[in-house]
Amino acid sequence: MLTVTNLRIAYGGAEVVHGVSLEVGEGECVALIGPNGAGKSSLLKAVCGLIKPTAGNIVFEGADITGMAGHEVARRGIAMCPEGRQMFPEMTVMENLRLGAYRRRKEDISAEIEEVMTLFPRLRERASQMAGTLSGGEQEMVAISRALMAKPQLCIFDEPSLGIAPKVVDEIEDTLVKIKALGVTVLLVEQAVSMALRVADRAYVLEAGEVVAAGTSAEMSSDPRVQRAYLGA
Amino acid sequence: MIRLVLIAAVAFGGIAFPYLLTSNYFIHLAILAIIWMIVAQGANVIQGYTGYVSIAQAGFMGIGAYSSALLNLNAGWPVWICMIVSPLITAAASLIAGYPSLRVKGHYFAIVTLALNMVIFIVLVNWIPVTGGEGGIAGIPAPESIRIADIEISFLSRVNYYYLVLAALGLVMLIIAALLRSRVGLVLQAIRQNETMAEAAGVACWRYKLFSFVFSASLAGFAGSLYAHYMSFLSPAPFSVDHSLNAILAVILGGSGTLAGPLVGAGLTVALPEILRIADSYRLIIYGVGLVIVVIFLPRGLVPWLSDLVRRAVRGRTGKPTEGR
Repeated sequence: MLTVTNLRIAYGGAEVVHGVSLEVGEGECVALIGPNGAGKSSLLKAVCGLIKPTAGNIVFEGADITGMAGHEVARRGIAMCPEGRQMFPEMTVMENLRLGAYRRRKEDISAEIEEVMTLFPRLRERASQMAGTLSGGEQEMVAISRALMAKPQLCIFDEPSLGIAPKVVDEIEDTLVKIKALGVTVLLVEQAVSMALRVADRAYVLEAGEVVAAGTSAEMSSDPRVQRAYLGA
Repeated sequence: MIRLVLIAAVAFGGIAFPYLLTSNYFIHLAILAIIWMIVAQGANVIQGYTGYVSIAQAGFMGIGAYSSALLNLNAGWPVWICMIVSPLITAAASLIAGYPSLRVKGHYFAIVTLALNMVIFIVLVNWIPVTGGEGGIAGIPAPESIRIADIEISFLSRVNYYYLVLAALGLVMLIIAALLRSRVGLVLQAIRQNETMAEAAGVACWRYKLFSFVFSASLAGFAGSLYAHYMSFLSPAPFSVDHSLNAILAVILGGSGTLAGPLVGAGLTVALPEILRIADSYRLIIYGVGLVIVVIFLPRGLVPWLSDLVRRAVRGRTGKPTEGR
């Protein structure tokens, strides 16, 4: 479904991603793990059209989307849930959800609203509250729901557990499992490696702008290097 | 409820104004203030709601003013038609200017519009065969008088012109209120709050930003036309960058992103320098210090500050009985 080949990304003259290739198949949940500064977020931004890569290409469902503008990528069915609970803070939860479904603005979206409200019952209580006044975990729920409202073929989550209470991280893990069960293809970037490996089918380990290991989640969790570096074994 | 009462009070105050303060001087100031309120309402759409500061509003006002005056004087078009056409001409000019400049984000956009205003000003000063240069254009007529049931309403009368600009302001505010409630208005506010996020949701942000810019420019053009046919004389001076900064100031002072803010802000930017005339040469110093104080202590502007005060007062009153229990 998504194929990234030899992608290189540079800011100014400094290259931060040195030719990364990865693949996400239909219905799969793929995790991208690695330390701070490995280039995970840059890679995601390039996939979503928010920055232009210097070399390599990105193919989504057979079409080359390298260097396409962000809104065009979104229209093709890639939804991004960016790092740091990004939402529209001075809008109600409901307005955030409506804007999430922007690319389907001519369709009826009440069924999807119902669906995400079932996924996150707490959002139903908060529907008319300003999103900026919610707790961290609730804001993350709004961010995830907003991405789902677009009915994406591929949903990208950038560090959904970042800065969230441990108890809520468990909730997010449950949510990711539910989203997977809905048949949505997921690309998950995480530093909470054990959580990511529990949820994902496959994983890539990115270090200093290069893929240093790849395989199924089971292989990755038993890989001694991964264990030593990320799982505290 | 409080909101409706306030709106009714302000509307009534606006209508009663010429009977309360009958001096020609005050009516003159009020007309200028209302024209600036229209400019500030336009500036608020791009600055307060969309989050992009345009430093070209006075320049666009100039395009509207000169095109309206010239179409009337040289092509013989009725003033009423000119008042409708001149905002469209301004919109076309801003479309051409906005297309390349909205490709850049944040502060760069402000700088491009600043340069644009300078270009407009230089053209007004130097294109002497058309604009008359520094000498300006004189003898611009007021709108043709209209007849309603045998009563002839002439707009040479200041009071009648006052009601014309007041009605224009009311119309502009209704259009803006409708825009803000629409889906387009929601997207504009989304761009201000989180542009990357809006882009990620599939919004072609540059299109909405361009719309916002063109819309705000056309309101400035409309205000320019009202100005030209009121003053009957045009020179480039009122359309310089200083006055664009005044429009921005009006939005910040009153409260950006609120409908009432530009009214208060533009009213103050016109009235304060006049009121401070009593302080003679200290006038501008007092004005400047006052502005600095407002910006430091009330960064959201006067209207949000006042509405917070009112809300707290109301809650305080209804809150007391529960505290006593």
